[in-house]
Amino acid sequence: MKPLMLRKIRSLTMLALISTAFALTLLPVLSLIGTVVYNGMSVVFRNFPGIFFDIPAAPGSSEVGGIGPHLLGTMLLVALAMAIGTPISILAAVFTAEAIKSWERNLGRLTRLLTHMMIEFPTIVVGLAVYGLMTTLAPYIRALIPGFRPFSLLSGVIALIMVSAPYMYAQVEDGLKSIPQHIREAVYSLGAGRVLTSYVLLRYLKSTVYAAISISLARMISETAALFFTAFGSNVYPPLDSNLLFRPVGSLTLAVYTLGLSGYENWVELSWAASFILLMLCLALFALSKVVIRGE
Amino acid sequence: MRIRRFLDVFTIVSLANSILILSVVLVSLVLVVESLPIIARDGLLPLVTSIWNPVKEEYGFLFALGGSLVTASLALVFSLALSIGSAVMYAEFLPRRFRVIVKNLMDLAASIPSVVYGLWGLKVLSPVLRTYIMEPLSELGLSQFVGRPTPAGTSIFTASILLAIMVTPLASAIIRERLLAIPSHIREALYSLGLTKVEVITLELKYIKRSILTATAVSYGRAVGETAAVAMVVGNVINLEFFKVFKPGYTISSLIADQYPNAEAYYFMKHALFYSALVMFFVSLAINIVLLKFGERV
Repeated sequence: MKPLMLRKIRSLTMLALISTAFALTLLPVLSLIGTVVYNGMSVVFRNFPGIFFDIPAAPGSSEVGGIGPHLLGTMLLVALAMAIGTPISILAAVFTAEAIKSWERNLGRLTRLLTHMMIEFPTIVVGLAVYGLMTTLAPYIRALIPGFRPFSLLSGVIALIMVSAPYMYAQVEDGLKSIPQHIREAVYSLGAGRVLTSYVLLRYLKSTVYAAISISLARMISETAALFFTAFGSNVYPPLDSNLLFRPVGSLTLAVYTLGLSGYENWVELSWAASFILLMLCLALFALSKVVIRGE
Repeated sequence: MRIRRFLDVFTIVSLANSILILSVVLVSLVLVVESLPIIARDGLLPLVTSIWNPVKEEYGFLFALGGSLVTASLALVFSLALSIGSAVMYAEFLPRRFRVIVKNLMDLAASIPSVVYGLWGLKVLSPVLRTYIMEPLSELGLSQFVGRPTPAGTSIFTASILLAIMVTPLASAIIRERLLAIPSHIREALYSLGLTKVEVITLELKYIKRSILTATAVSYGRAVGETAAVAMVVGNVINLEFFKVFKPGYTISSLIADQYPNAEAYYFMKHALFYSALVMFFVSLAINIVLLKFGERV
């Protein structure tokens, strides 16, 4: 055994290292939040409330303009993707958890395996694959809808669903699995069928489902890589007609990326404003999910 | 009658499962089919050569593959140090009333969009790293090993630091939760042996090595796949010496993001990019299998 003095010195050195690591973990986060709030707020208030409605000003001019098209694009993408993706993931989770017959159990097991694989997939790969799929299908879709392009709101929605559905599925399924067997049996013993039972159990799991929804919402809002070749991005408002689904749209995250890398001072400022709005949205959803979980 | 028993109302729900399964299968299928033309032409050659010459239709993305592995590995080293350190600090030293603040801050950090990290990395982190770390080190004579930084400060090194900052909150949360879950009788037994605080912590870390492995694998997967933030700070320059980390370079994901707009102009370029995505798909699959076999559920 080493002398006590040596052990104490070693202990103190390690303690210093641990504190440094702790400080180095928190410092960048604080700097990021501080910079985004400071830079973003000053831009937002320079053109308030126009920042939420205008299109970006000409690059290099002294005006900033706004990020209206990107805000609208994000709202359209996320609303559609949530409307389609939520029922699919929750129903799939219900089916997996309540499967009885052997083919049902196998289907559930396969869904579980594949979606769990999908959770940690790089989202750029998903985006690229959706783009590849859409270009392959484009000639056939064009026969029905002449204006269709692979870079479109529709592709963006599909990519977002693929990115976030596995998460929601996994969370709801874990929740359903964690319900004690006697509760499930009690519901069945009242003579409820599987459909009614699933409904009752989902209501029992209300807070898990709400938390899953708000986390998926946050993931969709913050997704960038999957939208590069699907929604593609646009700095102008899309015309609101029947072809809306088949045209490229902007999104807040794509705005941060392209405007931030553009090198024009006023566009970089818009990029900070978009970052600030994204940060606030994530903060709101984060707070909401905490409240929902605590409200259980 | 038999058919009715087989198909109750609940069966319709299986449609949702089929959609999920179909989407995963389609993603894999499209990646394979779209990369077949270049696999048929060049085989595994693009993986081991570093040429990017669309005019001559020659594609080898070793520089991007190397860039990805170097950034992710460096990021992993930094983030392991940071996440173990901060998790230990949280679980062993931090007073209870600070815990709520720190925990919420870290959880929030994990949910901030990566592209926001990218903008911060480009405008704040890159200049700081260039002035205080990269330039002094290359002045010291390391420049023949690590290269010289560019004026903007974007480099493979910057990307790995940014990645480390981005994955640390999640990795730290995994280790922290497990550290807090160590039964108190084990901790008390260790202290009763007369060990110092740090010796106890070392043993505790050995006790939870499975969680540390999980955190490692999850971080590595995130770091390899991350696109938006990396594409903003890695420099996007074809750099054949990807191991000289202070120089700007490419990773596979930033190569796809940056080069794809040009891809339609050349026949094989699109397929080459799909091929590189397929490689990333397999890397991610391998990490998933490791997680499934040795890791624990996050």
